[in-house]
Amino acid sequence: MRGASIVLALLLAGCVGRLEDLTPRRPAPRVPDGETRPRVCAPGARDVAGPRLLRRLTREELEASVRAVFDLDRDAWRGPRLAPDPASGDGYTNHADRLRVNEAYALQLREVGEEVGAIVAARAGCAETSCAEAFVARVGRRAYRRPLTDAERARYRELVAVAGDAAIEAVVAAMIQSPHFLYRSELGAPDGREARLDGYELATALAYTFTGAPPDDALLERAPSLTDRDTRARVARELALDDAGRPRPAFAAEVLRFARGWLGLASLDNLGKRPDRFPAWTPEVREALGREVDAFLTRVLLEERGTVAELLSSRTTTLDPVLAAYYGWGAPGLAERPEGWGAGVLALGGVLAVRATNAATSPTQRGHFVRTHVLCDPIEPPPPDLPPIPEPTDARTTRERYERLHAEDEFCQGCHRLMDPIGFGFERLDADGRLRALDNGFSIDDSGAIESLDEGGPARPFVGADELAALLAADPAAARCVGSFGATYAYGLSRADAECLASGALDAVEERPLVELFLELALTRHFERRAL
Amino acid sequence: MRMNRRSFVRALGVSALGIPLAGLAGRLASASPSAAPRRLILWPSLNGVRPDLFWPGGGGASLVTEPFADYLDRATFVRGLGIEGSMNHYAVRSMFTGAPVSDYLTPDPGVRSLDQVVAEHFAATAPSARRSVHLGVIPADALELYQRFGRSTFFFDPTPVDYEANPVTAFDRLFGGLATPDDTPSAPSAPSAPSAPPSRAAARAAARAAALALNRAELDELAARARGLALEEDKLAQHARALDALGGAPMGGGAAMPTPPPPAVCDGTRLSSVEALRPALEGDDRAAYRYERFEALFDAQVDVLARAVTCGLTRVATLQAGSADGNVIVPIDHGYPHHDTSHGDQEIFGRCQRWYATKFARLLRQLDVPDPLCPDGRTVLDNTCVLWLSECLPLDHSSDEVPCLLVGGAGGALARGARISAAGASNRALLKTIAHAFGVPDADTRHFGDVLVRELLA
Repeated sequence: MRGASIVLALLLAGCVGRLEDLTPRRPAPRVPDGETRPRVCAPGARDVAGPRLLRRLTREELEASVRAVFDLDRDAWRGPRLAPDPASGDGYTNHADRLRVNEAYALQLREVGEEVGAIVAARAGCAETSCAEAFVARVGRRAYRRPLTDAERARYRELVAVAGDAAIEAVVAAMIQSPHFLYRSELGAPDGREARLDGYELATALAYTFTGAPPDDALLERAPSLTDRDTRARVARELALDDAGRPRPAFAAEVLRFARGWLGLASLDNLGKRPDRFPAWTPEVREALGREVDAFLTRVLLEERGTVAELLSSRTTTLDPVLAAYYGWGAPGLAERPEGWGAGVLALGGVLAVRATNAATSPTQRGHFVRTHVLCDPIEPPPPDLPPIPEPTDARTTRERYERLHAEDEFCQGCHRLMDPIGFGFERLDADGRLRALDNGFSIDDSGAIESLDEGGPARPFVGADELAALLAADPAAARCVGSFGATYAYGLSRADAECLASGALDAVEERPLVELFLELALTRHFERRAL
Repeated sequence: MRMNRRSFVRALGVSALGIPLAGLAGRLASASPSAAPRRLILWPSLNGVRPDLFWPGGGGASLVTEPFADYLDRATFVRGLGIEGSMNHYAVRSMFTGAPVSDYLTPDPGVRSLDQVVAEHFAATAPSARRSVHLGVIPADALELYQRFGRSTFFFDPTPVDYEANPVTAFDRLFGGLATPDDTPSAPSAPSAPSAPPSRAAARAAARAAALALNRAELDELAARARGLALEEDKLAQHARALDALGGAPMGGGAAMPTPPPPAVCDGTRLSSVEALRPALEGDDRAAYRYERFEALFDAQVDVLARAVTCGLTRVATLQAGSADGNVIVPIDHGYPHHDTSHGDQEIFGRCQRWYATKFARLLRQLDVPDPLCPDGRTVLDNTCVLWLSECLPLDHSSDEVPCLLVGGAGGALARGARISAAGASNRALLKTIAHAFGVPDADTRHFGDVLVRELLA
């Protein structure tokens, strides 16, 4: 299946006609997946040992690694100047097949290495050969996340000899450019009919999964024991949670990266609304809406250790003075959303505003997100050469417009029946993320349905965003779907494969806090074994 | 399949102005490389503009070209050109590669775009400190959207070329550490080779080479471990090619040419347009995607590019402002979203494109200075080809008769001030002709076809 966002873009380019007062048809970007890897899992397969991989560090991982290995804070080093990492069709920037080293990246990495080298050398305070060789011995294991081999130490000795009084600088630059630093090895070694990751590879996987950073010295010391499942479970928990069971900051940051990627709110930063229709929309409101989303995710997923059901149904949100005034209810701090304002993450103002045009709601975009990111249902893209559809002249409301455009067109309806009726449930929540009483002066029908994928199959009707949230919160498929995005982020593969690789862990996701799913991901067959 | 007029002309084996390469021996000889330090700048102009607002008439500049009216006598307009095998926004991947991209789902071209063809030629014959420089000004509606979609626009090597969208980062990367007239470091970065004493520079070069050899050996060992894993092998092979290129080996093979240091005229004097953005942008790439900074970003990137090209740090550069399907706010009147406006009032969209042309003029002015690399008195602009080309037209996004103009003479190889009627001609002929003017061997431009627009050659 193509990346969900691509499908959305195609949908926008496809069946929705154009009105002068609505955002015109947007072109669809090219499919960016670059995911040439054959599907790992056969249909119906579970708990498979996935592919042996080399995972290039993301920019964030690389920065964290350099800081950890060479002990550099932000005052000492400003961070890497590297091109942004490409994202996969699933929206994450850590897909194993997308992260490559081309000439431009290699050049930038050399610049990073030499810059850090100069900083570290200036701080080292010594330049003689013995000092540089001691430096290699001390830092090499951290950089390579395992002890260096004899051949590797010999190469560094040669480098030190060539570099002379610039040896420390050269060593640091070489380490940062080393493939053993740059790639997370998940190759393993043959062990019967599969490959098994060694203790250092497991330490690396645990550290990056739960902290976004490399293993520290203590974890490297424990590496040989990590092939033991119970030890691994204990270490994963120690990395993620403090003694009181609260998520540690580094783990919380990783969970938020997963959740933000799942929500896909990239366009919120620049989002504008037509001033004649939404005069209260300001940059300050836009920024406050972004903060509300972050606060909601932090509270539900991390502070309250909520389930997917709670993510989709919590009525509590966090307001600041800007939002309290904008929404017109509640006081700064924790507040309960009033009746009609929807529930859960999907009804947050920023989420609603992104999935709308600059002038009107978009039932298709909202329904599409629910289908692809909450239910993980496949939605096929329309043909890329669909002609514009005549704009209906008799539509009084957004709902009527979409019904004329899609429901009355057999071709469009083939896919839009799966999306628009879900999106209609949000119709009382306007394109600016606030409740509205009327649409274009007419009453609003926010009844909807989650139609069966099988045409003619039983639908699940509902009325309004509150009932939709309740339906989704009670749906085991939603919990599994959202959880599978977590596995996607953790494993750096496509969502479809990640769901299969983590199927055992996902079995329990409905009943357990979402953060527990992450801990379970360290115990899957894929985490320690790979297909040969 | 519907055959458009251009396809029809090609099917007849006739090109209104293009002539087969084989019959152009005389022309080829006249366009052989000269001693002039030539530069190439590609300036994609997104979504085009209504023809009557672009093409200069008998009375002089049009609405869009008026901001650079002073340069029209050095500008050649090629009218009637179409993007072959493509249309709409997906033509962005065709316009500089010549590859057909028939819809959004078509895979990337897999061939080099014009900039990379010329850059590779320079790398093999007269390398500069930077093989090519690629800057963006909000090249997607958000950093995440660039990560997802934006990198596959326009330029290919033959994989997509990355842009630097943060002018502070661009400046620091290109000029950080270079000496300034008062010899004050301009940015907090590692000392670079050109500013170091010769013995220190030699030691650094030796250490860099040794580090490269170390990393290359490690890569080979890792590749041995990954043997049989096709995707991982491919990943490491690309990495190895990149390291080899860093070591000076041309990507196409052949003898290595050492990368020279920046010319002495390149210095690290700060640019006010960049410094104005530094507090907001340093270390924050996301901040370089905020619409409200569009003009400031644009000015800064133009200034960075102009300095890099003028001083000879690089000889090939591109600048993409906005994105074909993006809605960055063009800051005229109360502000207009770019793509949406391309489907709306065309007078307003013409004024939007005129605003972009003021930035084009800013670039031309900075190039219109004596060429520091060329003592014969010619200007940098004389030695440069600046190509303005659109991927499609507004409203229906047809890619026939797209706006196309070239400023500068590429060191005397290209015509200046011409008004060429090229009805039915293909962008591939344009690419072929420009590459030819830069002395690129025909064997390296076969993917552009074998037709030239002879009127373009001086």
